[in-house]
Amino acid sequence: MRVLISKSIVCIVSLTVVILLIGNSLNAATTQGSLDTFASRGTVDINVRVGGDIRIYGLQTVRFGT
Amino acid sequence: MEMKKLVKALTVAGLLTFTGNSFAVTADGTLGATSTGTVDIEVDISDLVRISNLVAMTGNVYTPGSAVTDSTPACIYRNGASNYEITATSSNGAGTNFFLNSGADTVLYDVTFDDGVGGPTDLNNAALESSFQDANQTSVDCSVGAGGSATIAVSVPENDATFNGLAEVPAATYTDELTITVGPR
Repeated sequence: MRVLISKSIVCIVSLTVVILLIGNSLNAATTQGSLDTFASRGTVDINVRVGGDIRIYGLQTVRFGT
Repeated sequence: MEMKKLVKALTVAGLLTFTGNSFAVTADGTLGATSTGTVDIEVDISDLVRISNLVAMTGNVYTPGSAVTDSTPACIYRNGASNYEITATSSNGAGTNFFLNSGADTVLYDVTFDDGVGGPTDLNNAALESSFQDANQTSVDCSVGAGGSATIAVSVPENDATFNGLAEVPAATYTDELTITVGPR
């Protein structure tokens, strides 16, 4: 039983590392330029996450008895 | 008389040409108890530039009510002179505009470049901007010597009159790869 739990933990840790590595590699396009004669070219990754925002608008005051 | 002058002039010109070439003092040794030869060595160094120390501008999250801003340092090195030019190109760019892309929608963003002495300059996508100075002339990674401390900043607006801002697009992650090309000026 203990061996099984240990193996499971090792599997989960390995899987997490692999996922992290893949995740990083998808964003690994930021590169430094090389020393060159006419032009040196570097690249920078940019990303922005836009969440699922919601808004209610157009509300009007409700008055009774007027 | 004129002919003698011409001959003299040609002789002097010939001597000057010979002297000019003879700065190349590579010479074989003579036969003797010892023999000494000399060899000229010459290395030409071109005008070289490098951009480095760039840091990804990732992990930004849009919070309603304000634009998203981020920046990266940039080391600019040039041997022999400090002035340089920059071209910034967006992988999702169109015309003079920079865009982030989710795969389905695009969001406009602005880019400025600050050479560390002149303040931020607005850049246009794929357009050469040649007014920069103060490149580091000592170290290719700016670890030694003065200058070369530039900053590239981006700003993603919430709204835009012509294109999409952050408040005008569906929930998603919007990405771009910005290529900065540095050349000597």
